[in-house]
Amino acid sequence: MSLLQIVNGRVVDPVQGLDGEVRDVWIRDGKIIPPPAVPSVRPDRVLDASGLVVMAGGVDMHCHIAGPKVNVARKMRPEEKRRAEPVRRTPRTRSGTTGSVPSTFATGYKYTGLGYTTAFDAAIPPLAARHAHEELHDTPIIDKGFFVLMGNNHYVMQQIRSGDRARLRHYVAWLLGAAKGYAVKAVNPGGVEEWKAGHGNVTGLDDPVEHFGVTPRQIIVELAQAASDLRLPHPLHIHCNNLGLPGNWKTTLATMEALEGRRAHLTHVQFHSYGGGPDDGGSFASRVAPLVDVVNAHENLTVDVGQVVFGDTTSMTGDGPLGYFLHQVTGRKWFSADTENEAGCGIVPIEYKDHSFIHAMQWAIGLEWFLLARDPWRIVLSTDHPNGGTFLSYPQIIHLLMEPDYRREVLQSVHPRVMKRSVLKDLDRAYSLSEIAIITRAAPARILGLRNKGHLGPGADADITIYTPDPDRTKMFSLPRIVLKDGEVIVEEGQIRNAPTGRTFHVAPAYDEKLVSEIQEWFEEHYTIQFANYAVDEHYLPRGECVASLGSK
Amino acid sequence: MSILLRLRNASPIPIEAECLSPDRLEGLAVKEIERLEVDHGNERARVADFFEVGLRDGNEAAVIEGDCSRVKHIGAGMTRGLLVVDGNAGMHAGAEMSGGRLEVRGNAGDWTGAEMRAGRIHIRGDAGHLLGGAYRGSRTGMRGGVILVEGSARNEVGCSMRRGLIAVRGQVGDFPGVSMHAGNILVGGLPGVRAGAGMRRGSLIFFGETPGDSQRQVELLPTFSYDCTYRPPFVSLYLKKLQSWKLSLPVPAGEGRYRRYSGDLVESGKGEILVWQA
Ligand SMILES: [Zn+2]
Repeated sequence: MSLLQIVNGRVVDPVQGLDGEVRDVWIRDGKIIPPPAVPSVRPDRVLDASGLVVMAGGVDMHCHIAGPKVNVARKMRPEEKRRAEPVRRTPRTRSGTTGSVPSTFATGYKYTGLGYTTAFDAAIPPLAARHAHEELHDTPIIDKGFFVLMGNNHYVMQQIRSGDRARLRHYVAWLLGAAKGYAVKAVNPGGVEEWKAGHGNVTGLDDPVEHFGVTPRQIIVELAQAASDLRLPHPLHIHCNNLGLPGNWKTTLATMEALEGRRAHLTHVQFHSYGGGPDDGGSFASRVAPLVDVVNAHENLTVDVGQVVFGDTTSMTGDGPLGYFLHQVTGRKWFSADTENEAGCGIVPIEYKDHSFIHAMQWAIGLEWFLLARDPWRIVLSTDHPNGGTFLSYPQIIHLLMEPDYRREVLQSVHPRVMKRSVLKDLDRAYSLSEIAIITRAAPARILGLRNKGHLGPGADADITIYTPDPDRTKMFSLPRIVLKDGEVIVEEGQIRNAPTGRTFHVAPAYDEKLVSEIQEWFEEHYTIQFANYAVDEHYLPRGECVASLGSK
Repeated sequence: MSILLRLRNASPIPIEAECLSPDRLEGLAVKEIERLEVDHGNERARVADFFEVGLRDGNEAAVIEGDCSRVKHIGAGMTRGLLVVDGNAGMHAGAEMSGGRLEVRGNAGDWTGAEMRAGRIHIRGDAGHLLGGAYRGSRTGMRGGVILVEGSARNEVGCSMRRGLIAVRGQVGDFPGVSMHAGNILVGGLPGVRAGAGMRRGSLIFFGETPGDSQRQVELLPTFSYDCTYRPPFVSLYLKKLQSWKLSLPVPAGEGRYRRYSGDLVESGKGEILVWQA
């Protein structure tokens, strides 16, 4: 029973209302405990945090770090790997490669080195769940989990067509359990299957998904309803239709409205906030304002931004037609995959250039979202790693949010037309440390329904990041002084001291067992693998932790 | 005086020796050169473990003697000076070099001059695969400079090349100029199959046809279309330049005519293949 005391730190914990007050943090067995009532209690170890900023570990609620698409991206970009600084082997850690898609072990080390201790992969087809868990097994230190792709699942669409809400709910519950996944994800709902069938992408919420006889609107509403009925800790996680296309803000607005008060998370919303005509790049414009108004006014909606960062990266998506679109636009190499009955995939290298009008607008649109959103508890910092940029660029984004002068300086250096087309130049808001703590840990933990993450109150997991204050925010957030995971010092000044195995979060909502034989019957008629080989068992999660449904103890 | 490295312990396990370039060797004492690190398989070793280092008369910056076909990365990344390999050179010789001259008196391995930017490589013997090519995944191979080969070269000569000149006196293997964006490849002999596949721009010039011999004709992909037969003036300028570098192709400069084909039509079709006919 070891007792650790972190003394004299300036604690920034918005959940407890602490904004830099000097407090001690007490830790026993990996959990934060209240300060002992008896002053004579002596800790086994004291960490002096005088003058340092103490926060909960960062939580990345939307990134791509495991599964076949990530692995293909690694293999697809040897030219990037060749030049990226490798992670060298030490007596405690393994070697690895970096670049925009780091290898598994390097992913764990780099996230922790950045002070992030939890990360969720946002797009795993259930068929690839086993592979994803195996990669997460090899992603050390951080706690993790993944969202299960369902927005183009054939069985899902069949139940929606027949109007069988109960059966859909049972299937969603069964599928989450079979994949050992954490949340329901819809990627370009309906559009991926429409494109896979050769009919082109859908263009709006009411386009029919041929053969399945449903519309994107129905898929969104019914999956949001199922997630809500199952009381999942995280609501439906939506990658809206028409990602990246000029004029797509209307689809995004329609999606928000279609939810009619149901809880949902709209991801990488930056990529969905564009005005302009489809065939006219010159008319490309920001439509953050009307969308952020809706989010500001509707408590049921949360978003993460999907900020674009200038530089070379790799786009990877379950949105097959988007991958094709990016390949057409960039002329770069392209990988496309069809996961039978379930999903699609597209991978294309992409370089965001500050002198490109479109790219600079995307950069500005992301920042507009951060600066116009009124409630920091409902907006989360993300780059949709590695789509908008890698997670290693988070400190740079924090810098842009906290320092308006720095932001203006960068704005001056990008394509000049951005000054005219974006309101960014007029936004003087500066994020406080406390607000940064919200959008990087407290809010994502809350939105994910992880009660033990994102804060430093009693009962929280002792995932703690200690920063040396520095007006150069990039520097401050790039290299935390100390990172603790489950109460253990893992990183000191960028050096990994230990690399334990993190948790894998999953859910196991109840379903009607009697329906399984029907699912099996359908499955065996349509899938290329045996039903018995589909579900992932607990052995694949060396430190699995089942998160209970909302409202249960 | 020039630096002399004589290979005394040839190893079947490859030695990776990026340090063997004029940039790194210049100004070093013999003892310092001996201590330079190389990779030997998965182990670290020193130059002295394999080479005898000394000085000798001559105006060459550095001479490496012996069969170095298992020594990789000789002259890779070099930016200046002269480096001579008196023997064979292993893979990646002169890869990514951006200046200076590399001379290989024997044969050179695969990826010689891969992704080079400037400078000149002269190979007296044969070259391997992907001469001046792009590394896997890269968008561009050779970006500038000159590669001269007196013998033959194997597959994918100038793969994804963007600029520069490659001249091979003998034959080349399959896919010469595959996916090239620009630049010039001159071949004294005949190519293997699928010359210029996926090329966008640039010129591939073949001199090796024998009139009347059906076995010795250039065979092109159906996605190259015949334009005309003419005498492009730039070819004789190149041939003269090659002579000044002491590489002569088996053709009298300024004579004969060329069949011109444009392609690859599955790409832009703006590249050309010229086939010399006496
Ligand atoms: Zn994503």
